[in-house]
Amino acid sequence: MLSERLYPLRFISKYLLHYKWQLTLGLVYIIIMTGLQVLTPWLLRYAIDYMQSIHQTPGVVMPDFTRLLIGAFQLTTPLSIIFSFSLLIVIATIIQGIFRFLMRDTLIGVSRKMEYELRNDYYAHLQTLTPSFFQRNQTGDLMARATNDLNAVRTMVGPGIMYFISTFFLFIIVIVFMIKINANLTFWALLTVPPSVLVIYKLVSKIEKLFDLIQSQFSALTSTVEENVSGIRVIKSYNRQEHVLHKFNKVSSELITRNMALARVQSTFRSFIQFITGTGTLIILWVGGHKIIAGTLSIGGLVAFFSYLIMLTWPMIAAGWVLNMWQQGIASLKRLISIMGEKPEFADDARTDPAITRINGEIEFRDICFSYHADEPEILSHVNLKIKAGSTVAIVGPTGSGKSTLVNLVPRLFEPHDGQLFIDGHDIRTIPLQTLRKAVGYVPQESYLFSDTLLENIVFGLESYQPQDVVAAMETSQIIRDMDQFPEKLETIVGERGITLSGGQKQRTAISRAVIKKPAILILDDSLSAVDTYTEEEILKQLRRVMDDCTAIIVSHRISSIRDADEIIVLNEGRIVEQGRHSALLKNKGLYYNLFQRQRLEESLQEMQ
Amino acid sequence: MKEQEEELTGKAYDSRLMKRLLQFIRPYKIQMALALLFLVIFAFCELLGPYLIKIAIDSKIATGDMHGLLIITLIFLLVLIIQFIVNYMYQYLTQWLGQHIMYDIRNQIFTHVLKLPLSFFNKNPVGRLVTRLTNDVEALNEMLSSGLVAIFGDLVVLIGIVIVMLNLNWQLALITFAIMPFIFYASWLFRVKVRDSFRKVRLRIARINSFLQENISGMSIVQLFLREKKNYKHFDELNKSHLDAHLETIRYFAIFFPAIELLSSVALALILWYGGFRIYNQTLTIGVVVAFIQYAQRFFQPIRDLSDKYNIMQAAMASSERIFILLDSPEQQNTLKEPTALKAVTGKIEFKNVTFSYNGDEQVLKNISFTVHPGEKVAIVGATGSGKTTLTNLITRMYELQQGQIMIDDVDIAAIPVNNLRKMVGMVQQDNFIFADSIHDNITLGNDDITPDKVAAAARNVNAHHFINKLPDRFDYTLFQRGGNISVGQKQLVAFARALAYDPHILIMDEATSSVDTETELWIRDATNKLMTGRTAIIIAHRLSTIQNVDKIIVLHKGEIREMGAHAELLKKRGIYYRLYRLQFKNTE
Repeated sequence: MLSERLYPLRFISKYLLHYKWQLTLGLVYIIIMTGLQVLTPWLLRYAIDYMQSIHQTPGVVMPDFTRLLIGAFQLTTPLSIIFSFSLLIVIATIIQGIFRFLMRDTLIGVSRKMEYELRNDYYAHLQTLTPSFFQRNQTGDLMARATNDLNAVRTMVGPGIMYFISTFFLFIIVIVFMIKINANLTFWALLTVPPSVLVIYKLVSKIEKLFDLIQSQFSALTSTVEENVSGIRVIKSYNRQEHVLHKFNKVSSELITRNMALARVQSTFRSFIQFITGTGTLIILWVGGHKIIAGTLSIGGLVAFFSYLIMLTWPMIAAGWVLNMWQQGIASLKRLISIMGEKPEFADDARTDPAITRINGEIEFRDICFSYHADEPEILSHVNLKIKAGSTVAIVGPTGSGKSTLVNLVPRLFEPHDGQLFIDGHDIRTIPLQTLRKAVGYVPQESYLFSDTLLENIVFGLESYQPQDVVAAMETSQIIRDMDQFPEKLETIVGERGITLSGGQKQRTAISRAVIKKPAILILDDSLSAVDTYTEEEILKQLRRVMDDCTAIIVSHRISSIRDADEIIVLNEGRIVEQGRHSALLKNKGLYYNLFQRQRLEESLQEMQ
Repeated sequence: MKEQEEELTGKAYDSRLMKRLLQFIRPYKIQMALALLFLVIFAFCELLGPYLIKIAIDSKIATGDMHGLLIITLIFLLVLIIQFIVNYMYQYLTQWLGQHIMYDIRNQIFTHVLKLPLSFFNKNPVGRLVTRLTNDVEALNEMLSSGLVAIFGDLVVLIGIVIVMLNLNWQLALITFAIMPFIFYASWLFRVKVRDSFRKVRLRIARINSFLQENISGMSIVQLFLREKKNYKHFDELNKSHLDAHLETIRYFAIFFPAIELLSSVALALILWYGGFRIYNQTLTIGVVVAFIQYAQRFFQPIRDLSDKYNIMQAAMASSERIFILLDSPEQQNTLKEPTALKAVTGKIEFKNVTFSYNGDEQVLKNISFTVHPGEKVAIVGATGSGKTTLTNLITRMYELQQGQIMIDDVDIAAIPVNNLRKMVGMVQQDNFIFADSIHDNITLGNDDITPDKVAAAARNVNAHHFINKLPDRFDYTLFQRGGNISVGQKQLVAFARALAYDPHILIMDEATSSVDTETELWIRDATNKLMTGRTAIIIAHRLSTIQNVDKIIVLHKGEIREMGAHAELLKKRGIYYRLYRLQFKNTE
């Protein structure tokens, strides 16, 4: 339980340790700065008392410090004595200022550097997570963690730590100085501290809960915006702007409700602090006034007490504020850790055999079962399939029969729940992910391009490339025929997700991106759907050359694109129902035959017209 | 490119931005006035404290008047209680104001975003828009709730202190004020420096957001193509430049705070020195010096706060500037001349010499003219990039026409309100966008007029019920964002059900049957036939089998109509259509 509570702190201290020298220096700066800060009221006290004594009977005993000062600088006139007090105050402030500069520059700088490191690590960690994670988590929410939450964590370790330590020291040093002036008055002046600490603590723990609620609502808002802006085309064509706005406003309004709950607590907090410090001044005036009249305190001492009380107010507010920052920071840190602590569903591990560096392309599915969630229907059940290296296999079947899922298992985007997948006779879990994915050229169903140039999108998976390879890959996908449509040719920016390209152009770019890798296994997941028949024919002709050199798995709906395959797999409801060559399957008179007949029928109908 | 553009926008027109921001406050004039009233009372109480202390020292403590000291103490207590109440009210009200204004601004931005033309979304990454609506508005809120009103409050306190000080002793007051020019100069210098670096910070965090948005959405592609290292490097660069901008800002702050502190200690020294001189001459009491010291402390606190609030203000200014740029981006033109709402639509569509280009450079459509009569079904065929999608997008005014006219029922669509137009024209798009919502809500899109019965009927008609019935909660089954838990074909069936449920007069299908298997396609064709009866329909398909029932076929090639006519007619022509047709036939032989 305790270790669970401490885990966030252990996590963050890992990062802080990288800056132990800066942090140590920062600590030294804080101590020096705080010590100097307390000098000003101290000097003020002597100065006032000296002024007070100018016109009093000469018999008044001067404090040691004042006598020392007069002696050291051979001061003779009262004015020169007052002047030297003033000068000392300025000098103390200058030195203090230098250390304040160093403190801020060092400590806040460290917090920003840590933020940078943490953000890098967060992103690097996301890269290790598998697609199932990204299905479960909304993009907007993941983004909010990298910005808002991270910023709250940063505030906690930067200003948070800085103010915490400086507050702590200031408190101690001020109290020491106060006691030196008058111990009894110090007791009275600090009377307000225990109740305020209690109230502050109570309010702050409330704030933590409220802040949690606010952050999660803020994430909801981010997700709502992200999704609706991405889906703007549907919203517009269905005239759903009003509904979407209504939904957005509901989320936005809930955020305000939650923020207002926090506002109530914070308003109480702030006005309470103001009140409690006022009360402190009041007590000092009343008790101190009596002491002056009784002759046990000087006016200078009273003035110094007022100054010190103001100095103590700041730590008290800061304490509340710092606690607030800590609470917010911890809440955000937990949200970050929940992602950073997310173990990738799979990764290279002890089973991985680094000796596997090449892949020929023989694939075997052995009794594979798959479902996205335990409580959801199986998408693949007991699939057994052997694909010889260099052969071309086609997968057909109705929508939702598991075609995409089956091919997604090959580059190990998902892991089967049951059964084993072998590539070149190795269990896929023993093959380093790098090796595996280097060997797979994958063209997804929905072509996802990046907002970069056309060229960058094509050479996306390469370390380095030759211009002639790019041309060859573009010829294979026939995207080269569209070059005159791109104003900047290969340097044309394709827009977010390739938005400026047509569906077919996106798919063909994605094909180029896959074939340029010269993969041992090429997977086309219904990748020609947005391409017209003529272009498809051309692409297939070109692809055949590529497919001669690799194992190819083609998911398609059009018999025309797959009839030449070495083997055709017919999937239905997650099971292989038929398997064989085109001609053999036709003789089978099963699902494939029906599919084929239907397509033929349509064509005959057309022919008759 | 775009990022550089953004970096260059705007210099220092604070007052112009502020004027626009104030418009958001206008609806809350009363609350604002109340908040300010509380603030003034609060400031007054704040000023009373040192004055009471001065009286206590000079005329009560100095004379040993215990009773007088008690009275002063009691007045002090009363002031404190009033201050407590007023302070709470003021704090609460300003937060309330900030939150409500923030809600209004978000509402306005989002309303505006929804009205922006599609071309805007092609140019602006989603992440950037997300930043506007979330972080940038948040920065504005901070300014409204703790910046603006508090700055006003500080000003009130400052003016009050100046008046009190001048009254207590004008010479001493003027000497204290002597350092004010220095403070203002330091603040001004600081403001200029910090403004620029804050702009950098905001811009760079927006870049990080865009990058994350794109890379998180496309993570599996990143992983499949082993781009982790390269993309990490890129992210590291973005992140590093963000860090650098912050380090610059930190330095300015680290210099500014001690500088102000130094100036205030110089003021304190001046008070002591001149006050000491006057006490020596016996023309001033010690109580006045003490009060001056206290006022001076309170005097510099707001000035320091003022500059501290620059932090908030600068961020808010930078954010508001970007928000206004977004709000100023032109909305889709709603009407041309007299808006004419279509009522009983017969469904005649007419293109008259339509020419269109996205960037003003290359023409995507060239001089397109054709007529679709009410109830007619028209198919558009052509190679990828021939302009098919663009053509259909123009009908629903997803993009505005530049040349030529499109008429529906002989009314120029530019004169038809967009809402009205899109209600008439249903569209099944290339990308079937699925929301992270239930299947039911994905079909109705939140339209309550579409009853569960209608949803079920629509789903049955497009044969989507087969797969929906197998899901755990059937129509209440919650889909992941972008429909991550159903197949592409299933997503398409949902989109079909959606289109059917909306029951449009004119139906446009854009390559809608493209990624469904033959069996599903047959189902859909069956549904499409039902859907097309009694409607004008324009269908884009590259598979000739799906257009066998149409009345007219338009063959588009490189933005031009090359052939147009019925199936048999076009075959006789032995042109492009004939060639496409033969190809399809040969493939399946």
